[in-house]
Amino acid sequence: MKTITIAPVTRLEGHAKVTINLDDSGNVAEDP
Amino acid sequence: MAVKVAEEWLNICGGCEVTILDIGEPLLDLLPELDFVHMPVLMDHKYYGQTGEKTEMEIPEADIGIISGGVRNEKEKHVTEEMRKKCKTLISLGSCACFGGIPALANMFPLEALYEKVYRDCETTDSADTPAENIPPLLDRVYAVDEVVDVDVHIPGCPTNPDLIVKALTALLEGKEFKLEERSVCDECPLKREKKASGGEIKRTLESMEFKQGEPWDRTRCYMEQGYLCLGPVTLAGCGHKEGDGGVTVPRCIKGYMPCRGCFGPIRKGANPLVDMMSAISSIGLDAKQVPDRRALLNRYIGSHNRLRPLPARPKK
Repeated sequence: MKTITIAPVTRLEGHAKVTINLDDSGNVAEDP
Repeated sequence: MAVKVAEEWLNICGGCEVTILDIGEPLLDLLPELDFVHMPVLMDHKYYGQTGEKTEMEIPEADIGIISGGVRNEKEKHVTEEMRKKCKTLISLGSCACFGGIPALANMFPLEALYEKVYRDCETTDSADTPAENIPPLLDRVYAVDEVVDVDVHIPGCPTNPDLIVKALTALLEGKEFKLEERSVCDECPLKREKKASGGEIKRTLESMEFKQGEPWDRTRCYMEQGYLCLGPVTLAGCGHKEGDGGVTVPRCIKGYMPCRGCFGPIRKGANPLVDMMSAISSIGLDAKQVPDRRALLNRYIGSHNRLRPLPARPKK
């Protein structure tokens, strides 16, 4: 289980963060 | 060698960043002197590495740091502290960074009341729990940047005046201090004053004003004396723009035939614009009691520094 965090999302008017959860085999996991 | 600049925006709309662009041609002269090393709105740079793999927040070291926006949540507080650590000179840009700005009107309500209003008490949305995952918790109120860390230069305004950004950056590049003179908007306003109101009740801003477009400013009657609530007497000057060579300086809202709303904040630290404004209104013969929602209206941009806070509920009559 690994989490990729992209913060801040840049060149955007506003604030945003993207969090992607990966499962043990490195694929994007559905909601934990 | 170019001076390194880091810029961050916190609890704001983005208008102050647009003002940097609005500098226009003088920006072209300034840009070769500046090397932007961090500015989320313009360039890519992540706090914890590209995929969030690092544990410490990374903001590069810079000579000049610019922060716009007040401090509303834990993340913004962390960013503010990191900016202070990394920047030799720190600038608060805009009314939100200097005094909390419009968002600090929320300081009149306890946090729980805001959550109730937004997530559960709004007629047009479905009720929901207060979000708690993946977003930073809010602080108890909106703080000005200088309530969290030391700030070297304040450039207020909502949004601020592009001329002031140029003056401040130029001064810093030359190693000089930048500070706005302690004068009021009225001190630099050219409108005609007769020291008494023209009579009648205090008017709302949208009621039509008496003026002839294009008429010289010194023949146009002071807006407050016409009965409009103009915060010029208690607001720091600096928004004004000089009209042509040798022309007069006209405060920006006045130039747009609108009364001053007070976005440049108090004339000096520790002043109380609410109290001073009530006496300014009375002194020209208007009835200060007619001003609706006085506390919010006279602290519209300056709710941090404990100027706005929740009041105990009034006893029922």
